[in-house]
Amino acid sequence: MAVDNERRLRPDWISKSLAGLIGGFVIALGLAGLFAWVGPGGLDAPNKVQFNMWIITPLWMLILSLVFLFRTGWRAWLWLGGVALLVQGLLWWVKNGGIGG
Amino acid sequence: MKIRGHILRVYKDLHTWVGITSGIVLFIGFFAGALSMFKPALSDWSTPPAQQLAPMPLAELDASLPGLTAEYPALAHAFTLNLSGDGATLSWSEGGGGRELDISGREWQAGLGADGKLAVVSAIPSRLAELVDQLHRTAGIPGHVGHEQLGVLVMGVAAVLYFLALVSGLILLLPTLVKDFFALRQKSEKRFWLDAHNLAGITSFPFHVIISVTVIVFAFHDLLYGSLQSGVYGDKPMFERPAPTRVAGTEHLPLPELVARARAAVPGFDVNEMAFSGLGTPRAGIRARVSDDAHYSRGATGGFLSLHPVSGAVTSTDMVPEQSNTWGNVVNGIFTLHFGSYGGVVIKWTYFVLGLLGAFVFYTGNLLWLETRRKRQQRDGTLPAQNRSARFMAALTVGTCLGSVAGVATAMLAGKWLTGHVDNINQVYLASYYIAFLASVLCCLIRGAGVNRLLLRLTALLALGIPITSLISTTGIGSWPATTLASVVVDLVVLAGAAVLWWFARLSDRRRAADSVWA
Repeated sequence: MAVDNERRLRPDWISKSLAGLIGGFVIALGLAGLFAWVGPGGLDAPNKVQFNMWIITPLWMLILSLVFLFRTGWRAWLWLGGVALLVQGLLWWVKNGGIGG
Repeated sequence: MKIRGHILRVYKDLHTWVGITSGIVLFIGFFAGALSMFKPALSDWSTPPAQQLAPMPLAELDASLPGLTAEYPALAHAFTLNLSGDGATLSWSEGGGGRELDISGREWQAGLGADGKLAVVSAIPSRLAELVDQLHRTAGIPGHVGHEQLGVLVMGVAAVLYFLALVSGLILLLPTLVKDFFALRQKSEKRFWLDAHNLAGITSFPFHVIISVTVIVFAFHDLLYGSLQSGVYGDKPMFERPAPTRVAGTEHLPLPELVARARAAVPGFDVNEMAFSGLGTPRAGIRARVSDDAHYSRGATGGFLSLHPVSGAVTSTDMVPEQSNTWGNVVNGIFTLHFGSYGGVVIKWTYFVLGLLGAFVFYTGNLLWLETRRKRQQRDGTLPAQNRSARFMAALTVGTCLGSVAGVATAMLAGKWLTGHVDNINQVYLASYYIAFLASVLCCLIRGAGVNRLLLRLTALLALGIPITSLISTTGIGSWPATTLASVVVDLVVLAGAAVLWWFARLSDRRRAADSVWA
């Protein structure tokens, strides 16, 4: 099947891997943080911190393994960076009393 | 399912590279991990009967404790009660009790001697099972980075690559999943090994995902908790350290009373051992290992219950299977899935097989790639000869993978013959493992991957020597015979392993293309 060059995946190994490792980690940490703050039980539920720690890795690894589907390394950085900003922004808002605070 | 060719090409390259870079470390981790499913059996197998005392009735043991403590002051600080039915043995060491494996620490044990009276034996105990476990966690890579073991961190990085290999492997297989699933074609040798690699990989896929994620967390949990603290919790402490309970007096309750309290706290569980620590200080505590095959458990061989030795009060049930809150139970469940500590002996054997299959997937993966790469470089219908780097990689794969197997076999054989003749048997295990491992690697690097036939046969003979040693010992020569069920099974499994290795050697006799990595 012919795919025109515009849509073909560029490998961009280094930039995509770094985007997945760094951007992916910031997003995963942010999502775990949101879950810690607004998920069931809130921040103080006993033993929940261990659960929160455990959910970082699967999210991070999922992002890292799918990052190569972006067409270029540049797009991977753009998208993951954008999502990371969004997630961390939300977390910042929640931490500073955004919900019912 | 249709996936565009250009996507498949990217993920094919990814699969190749992460596989090649992590395959060797993962092979050792999986092989030793499979063995570590039976740590108690390995301990039993490698401990000579002279170092094993029979359990003594609890009340009697309790009555002899003051006398023992006068003779061995270390007992006033810490000891472990190893329970078996209504009896128990007592073990303690001097100083010890750290988290890291201590291979040269002397251990004392009190229990019933052969004459039915209180006896105390002391030895540097065989740590074969713990060393296999250490091999599992570090791939045998020595050294520390800060307070972390270097090998554990390397294993953590390998586990990240392993996750990538899993996802990319799945993506590669998706378009032909239905056609290839359960196909084991014998059209060509390569097709057969590729089918076997895919079949083993896809059938144990969920197991592999669990292992990869848990290994990453085990290796990097300091980093993860640290980021959670600074990025999420801020100034709020994540773990509330319970204030030491104020208890009047320092004398611990009688042993039978404490055992009864532990049993009452977790009905339906077996209380296997109770580790007393910090006796006579405000941090005094008992950590009881409790197990029940019907439950998920936190540790490899059970969950943990905490008690206060002076008051006898239960201080924590958070690590007792299904006795925590939802979060604690889910987390305990994740630990359980790594350790295979649920469902009893059936799951232990299942994990044993899955672990060995995993090792097989990494080994075949590396070698498959080396030979298929050559096919892709094919010009004018002639295969190019394998170049130096491919030969080097093949030799390294064969040398390290088979070397770790040969190392464990050598350590077990040497250990069985030399126990009682050396001061510290654990040094023998370590030396014989590394000698066999390095010899195997060197041999492959010098002579090429083709020496795998010789290595496989040598390893098979070493392994065969292990049950034979046990047999010979029934005549009173050498070591000691296998008298418990666990140690008989260890001997039988090693025997089966020897047969499988020999069979692998015969298979690879057929694979001798003059210009391949096997030449």
